[in-house]
Amino acid sequence: MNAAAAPLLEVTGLVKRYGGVVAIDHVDLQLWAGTITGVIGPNGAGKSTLIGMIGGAVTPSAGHIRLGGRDISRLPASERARAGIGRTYQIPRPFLDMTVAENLEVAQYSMAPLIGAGPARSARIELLQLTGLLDVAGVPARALPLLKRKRLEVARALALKPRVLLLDEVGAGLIDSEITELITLIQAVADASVAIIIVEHVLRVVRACCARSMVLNFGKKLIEGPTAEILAHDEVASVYLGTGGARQSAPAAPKDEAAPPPRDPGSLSQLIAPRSSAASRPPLLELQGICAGYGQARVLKGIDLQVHEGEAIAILGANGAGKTTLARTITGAINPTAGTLRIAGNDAAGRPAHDIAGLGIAHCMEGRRIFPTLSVRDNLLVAARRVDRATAQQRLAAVYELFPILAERAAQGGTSLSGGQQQMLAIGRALMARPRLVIFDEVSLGLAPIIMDRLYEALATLKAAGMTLVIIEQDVDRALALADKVYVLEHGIFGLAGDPRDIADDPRLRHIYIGTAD
Amino acid sequence: MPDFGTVASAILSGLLLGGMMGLIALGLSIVLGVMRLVNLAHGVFLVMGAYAGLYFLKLTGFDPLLALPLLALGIAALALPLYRYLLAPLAQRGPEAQLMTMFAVAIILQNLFVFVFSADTRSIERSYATLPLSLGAITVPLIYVIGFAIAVALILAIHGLIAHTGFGRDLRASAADPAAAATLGVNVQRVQMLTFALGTACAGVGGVLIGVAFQFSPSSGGAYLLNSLAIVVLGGLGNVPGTLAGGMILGLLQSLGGLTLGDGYRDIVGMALFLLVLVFRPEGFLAARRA
Repeated sequence: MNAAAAPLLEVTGLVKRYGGVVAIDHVDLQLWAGTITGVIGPNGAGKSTLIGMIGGAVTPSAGHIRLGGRDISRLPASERARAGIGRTYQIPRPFLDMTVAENLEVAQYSMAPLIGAGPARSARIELLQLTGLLDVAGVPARALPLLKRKRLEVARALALKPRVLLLDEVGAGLIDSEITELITLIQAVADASVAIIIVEHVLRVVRACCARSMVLNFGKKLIEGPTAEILAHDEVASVYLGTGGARQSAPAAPKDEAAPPPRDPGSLSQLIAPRSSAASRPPLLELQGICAGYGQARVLKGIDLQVHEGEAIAILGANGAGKTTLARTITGAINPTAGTLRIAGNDAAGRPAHDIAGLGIAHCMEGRRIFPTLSVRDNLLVAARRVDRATAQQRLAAVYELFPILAERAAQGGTSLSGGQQQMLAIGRALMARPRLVIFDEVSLGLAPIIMDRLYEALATLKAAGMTLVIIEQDVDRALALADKVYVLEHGIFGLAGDPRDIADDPRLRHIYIGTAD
Repeated sequence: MPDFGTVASAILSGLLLGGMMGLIALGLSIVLGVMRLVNLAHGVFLVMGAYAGLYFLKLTGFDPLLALPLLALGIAALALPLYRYLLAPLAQRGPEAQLMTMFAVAIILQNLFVFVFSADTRSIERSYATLPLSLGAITVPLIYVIGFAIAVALILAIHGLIAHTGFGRDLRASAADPAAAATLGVNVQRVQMLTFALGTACAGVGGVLIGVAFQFSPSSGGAYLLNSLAIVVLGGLGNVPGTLAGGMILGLLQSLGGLTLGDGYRDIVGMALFLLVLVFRPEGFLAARRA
């Protein structure tokens, strides 16, 4: 806690570029022994990249990392672990076929190959006691539930006797009571000789454990200071909620990307399936009690949702609330474990993804998922299924009219485009199926505000032309402006639902995103 | 020091033979690109093609090269149930399960061949197989030229299929990101099944050509599998013209190796080249994924 003493870990001018994308842009960070520091920020802010560079999994493009004065920026991960940097992974990676105790032995003997069996055992028992794993010491890691796996992850990192401990999203996928247990664990392992960094979307963990925090946004350090002040800060709220404050200060984008969409929606009829004519038609999309998850992690815990033709609904929620899992469940990428899923009255639960696409559900996927080996044109044509050449050409023309830049770049490789253009390609590709409903998953993620405006104008044009939209967003303002109805996901259920104007004014919205109200 | 004619003939023979190996390797390459599966039974499928050609000739009296489309379809049809009942159910169990399954299939088929056809060395006896083709001082076997022409025609046809058709687009999309392709409506399992059949057909057609040009036995497949792997690495995964070029380069170097070190050293040259590429251009595996 002594600010005058030299920091244990000092990060200066750290930069990571992936091609043209700057994931981390000149970040400085100082950690003293005995402190716990939180690193927060929206998806794609660069948090995992930062942790990866400190842990050694990611090589920095520039900058230095010093541990106790020694420059470790170029050491491989294994040597950093021996130098005293321990880390946990977002998704626990224990050795599944070893027992809990054996998992710890691996770490112990890699640190000190000549350690005696007696001292090793007593150190191990102490660790197991500390992390609450003593009763499962002889159980194979495969049999552990998620919370215990996370405990094992922490125990294994501690077995390396680290001086710096990096905890990456240890709260993800846990329910409230488990998060309480996790907070108790973190507080128990904190020790005067260790500096801990917590990267976390579950802000309760950060609030309870970290005296100081920093906020990353677009790879840059937005603000740093005492956690309570940080979380109350308006700028931090705007990063999470996406309020328009940043728009005025944003640099202008190249003209071709920012050009407004065509006003005349005539050609859009090529891209929007005609409405069904039946008088008493079932909802286009209907979910009842849908539960889903990945292995041990329960993500969705009973979702009810109805979407009727021509509606635009928005699904909001903090990171890790289950928004993308919901989209993937609807489109058949993962199967629900319970509940019913109906598309225009047809039972669709458990059907393969290409069948659900055939029923008229298109998904503009998070992260764009552009095929790098296909040209822009071929990326679009993949989604035009079971149509003749002339129809496919008409749809291509309609997409090009919506996003003229795609026509100019038609022959280029899909991923040679800029981020904003790739997002336009992803939107256009979803429309090529002439779907009845499109799920837009985080279309504005990681883009400059002026490009976000441009994309949302396109969505508004589609809505005006009669398209049924499901918009999944972290950027609350833009989604609220477009939607007829808003649902807010919190811990895998809809915590809040209703008219966008009511939701916008609801203090619970801010609470769900930042949790300052408790 | 060998004379000009011997050297030039060896070079040309190597290039022609390499074109045929390029076709065989292309089958391995597309299955690897789309299914992420190194098909360890690829060499045995080749031997199956050779036996199919041999028995087609024995039973019908027609030349197997004229019936290549029929033989290719027949061998591709055998691949469909293998995919449907062995590989597809294992798709979610990680890559090792499919790899080991195809290794087992290779062992079973090889022993089945010994059981049914005996372990004797055979060849598809055609009069033109031994005929030389001379151009000045250069002499190459006529069957090399025929085989090369057939192989290059098929490689170009497959290139056109992958680069310019709807199925090819689905194939490339499924290779790049199967989950995203499925979400866009591509039936990825169907694409994989057809790709597996196409890859098997490449091995089968290559087997008929090899069967006419050389001798074969139930255990001949291993060497062709290894050479195909080396060619895929050389040419870059998923790069169809690169696979043809890789095959011709390997064939050329093997010929030169045989010429300078003696015929027994052909395969050593190929494998040494394979290792060198792995050391100095390992990105040849993935970076050049173009087609």
